[in-house]
This record gives sequence, structure tokens and C-alpha cells, in this order.
Amino acid sequence: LSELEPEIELVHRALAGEEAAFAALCTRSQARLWRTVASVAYGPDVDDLAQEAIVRAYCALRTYRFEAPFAAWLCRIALNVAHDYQRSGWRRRVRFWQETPDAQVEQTEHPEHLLAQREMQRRVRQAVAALPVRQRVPIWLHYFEEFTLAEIARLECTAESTARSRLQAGLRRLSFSLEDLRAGSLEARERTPSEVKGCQI
Amino acid sequence: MKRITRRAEAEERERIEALLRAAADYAPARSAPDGLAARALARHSAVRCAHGRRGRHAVLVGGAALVLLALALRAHWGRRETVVTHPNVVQAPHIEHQSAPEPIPSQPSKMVVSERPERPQRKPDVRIAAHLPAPASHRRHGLRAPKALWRVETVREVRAGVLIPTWMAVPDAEQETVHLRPAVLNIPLQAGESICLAASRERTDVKTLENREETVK
Repeated sequence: LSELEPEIELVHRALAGEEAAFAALCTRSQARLWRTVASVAYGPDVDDLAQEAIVRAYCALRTYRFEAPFAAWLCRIALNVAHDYQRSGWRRRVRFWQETPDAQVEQTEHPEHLLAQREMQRRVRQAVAALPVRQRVPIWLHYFEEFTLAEIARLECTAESTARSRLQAGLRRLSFSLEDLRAGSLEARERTPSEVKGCQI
Repeated sequence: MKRITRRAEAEERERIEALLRAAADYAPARSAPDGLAARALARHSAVRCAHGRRGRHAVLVGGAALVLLALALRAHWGRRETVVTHPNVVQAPHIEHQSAPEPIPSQPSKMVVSERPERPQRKPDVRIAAHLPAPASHRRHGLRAPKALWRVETVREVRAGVLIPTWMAVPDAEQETVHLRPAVLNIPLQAGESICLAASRERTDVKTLENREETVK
């Protein structure tokens, strides 16, 4: 299937029962999907969660309304899967060893610093994934996946102002759950104006 | 005061936003494997097929379980009604204690104490009770005195006897031969019964009954 084929056309073909079209759609958003589940789960669970999210999306494809980008819709499903995983008994009882540092971390001069930063990022993402559904979806899609508030509002079938107020409520809730983290400890790098544009409220 | 609060809120919000922007740079240690969607869809199809097979298996297992349950129930009820389980039971001869023929036992005989299932309750012991005074509640409501009193008893009958395995000669008219078939001779020796009042739930001692020769088939 062509990479340039329009997304809507692929969705229609997937709705007609063509699994290859749905697989092509998922492949386009695979990086977002993988990043979403990998920031919550460890080890082999990441693969399982990603596959579960794809299967859930395939089963619920008829509920897709073509109003928001398919990637946002798929990302929301993956986020819900990650949230369920966080609350599952399996997750609470079984702890995997953390992933071994990848080659990129080992080659740097301060690998422990990079590892600490990764753990901090995971901690923040897991705190967002643990929020109620009305707050976690806008925050995740807006800050992590850089969708605009208008797109999120279309995805959630709400007004843009509602999406903004939910996002602000989520930020207030996060300030309690991430109280022990300090922005300085992360050494947040300066982002270019184009990167910051998506995060303006 | 309000200005200070707003300033603190804005600072807190900036702190959280900085954390979120930093977390947005997260890159997984492992990249997504190739063909993830195809594998997920293949697994989904396999699970769907397995669900179909599982349904058929469930129907088969359920049917087998029902058949086993029916057989077990039948065996249970059959055992309750029959005391002697051997296929052939010979009618016991009318035994006088001295003149009883001694069949040759092929195995040592054994005492068998069998207990019948509880009989249905006896006929109620109904007596005219018009002469008795009516209870207070009846008198208060102007009702008439009860006409009868009755007592409910449960009688349990216990029988002891001897089961003797033996051979039975059965003549075959067509071939003019005699077939020996295994059989069990049932000689009842003693019988008794105990009575239990429904109200008290206490049993009387076993009262010996007359010797009755009875064969249970």
C-alpha cells in the first residue's frame, strides 16, 4: 500500500474488511503507539500492549468518526490500554527488571545522568496515564504527541474550551502527584518555537 | 493576597509544563518491531478461530458431563432400591432351623445387614378428640375445638441375613444339558424396627420382629 494514500481512503478500505489497509494505517502511527505503551510497561509487556491496542482499534474501527486524525484516535486507544495495564493486578504484583541501558546511553559521558532523566520522563508519563480519562487524553495528546486543542476537541466531541479546561484541571492534579519532582532536576532543554507552538494553551 | 496566589499558581503550572515538555522527549529503549500490526491482526484471527473451537469443545464436554451425571444418578437410585447387587438371586427355601440344606459355599459366607430406605410415614394415629378442651386461641376467636389428634411416626426397619454365593443348575431343554450359573442365596435371620416420633426426633430401641424369610430381588 502506498505511503501517500490518503488516510481516509485507507480507513474506508479497512472498514470494508481489508486487513492490509488497517495494518498500513497502524504502521503509520506505530512510533506514537509504541512510545505510548513503552513509557508505561516494561519488557515483553510492551509488545503485548501494543498488539492489544491494535486489536482494540481494529474491533472498534466502526466507532471512528473521521473528525480527528486517525493517529490521535489510535493513540487514545493505546493510552487507555496503558491505563488499564497500570491498574491491572498483573502490573501490581509483577515487577520486571528495568530495561538495560541502550547503546546510546552507554556511549555518553554521563550515562547515569541520562538514565535518571529517562526514569524521570517515565515517571511523568506514568503519572499522566494514571489521570482520569477526561484529563489524561488532552494532556497526553497535547504535550506528548503535539496535537492541537482543536483536534483533541474534535476527537473528544467537545468544545475547544472544554478541552482546555480539562487540560488545566489535569495540570492541577498533576502538580500534586508530581510534587516531589522539580523542573530544574530535569534540565529541560530549550525547545524551538515550532516545537513549543503545539504546547501553547 | 490574590496576586500572590495567582503568581504561585502560574509558577506551579510552569513547573508542570516544563516537566511535561521534558517527558515529551522520551524515546523507548527498543524501537517498534517490524510488522507489529500484521502480527497483532494474525493473533486476533487465531484467537477468534480458537474461540469457535472452544465453543464446540464446551458443547462436547457439557454433553459428556450430562451423560456421566445421568449415569451416576441412575446408579445411585438403583443402589437405593436393591439390596443384593448380584445378578442372580435364588429364591430362598422355606427354612426350618434343623432341616435347612447346606449348600456348598464356594466362598466364605458373610453377614449382611441391610437397611431399607425410610418408609413413608405410617397412617396417622387419628383419634377423636372432641372431648378435649379447645386451645385458648381457638376459644378467643370463637372457633370450635379440634376434631382429632394425630401422631406422626417414622419407622425404620433393620434386617440381618446371610448372603451365600452358590451355583444354580439351569436345565437347557433344547440341548438337553444343565448349565451352572452363579447365584446368591439370601437367608434373612433377624429383623427389627425402631420408631421415631416426628416431634421428639428420638428413636426407640430396635424391636425384634418375627423371623421372616424374604428374598430381595
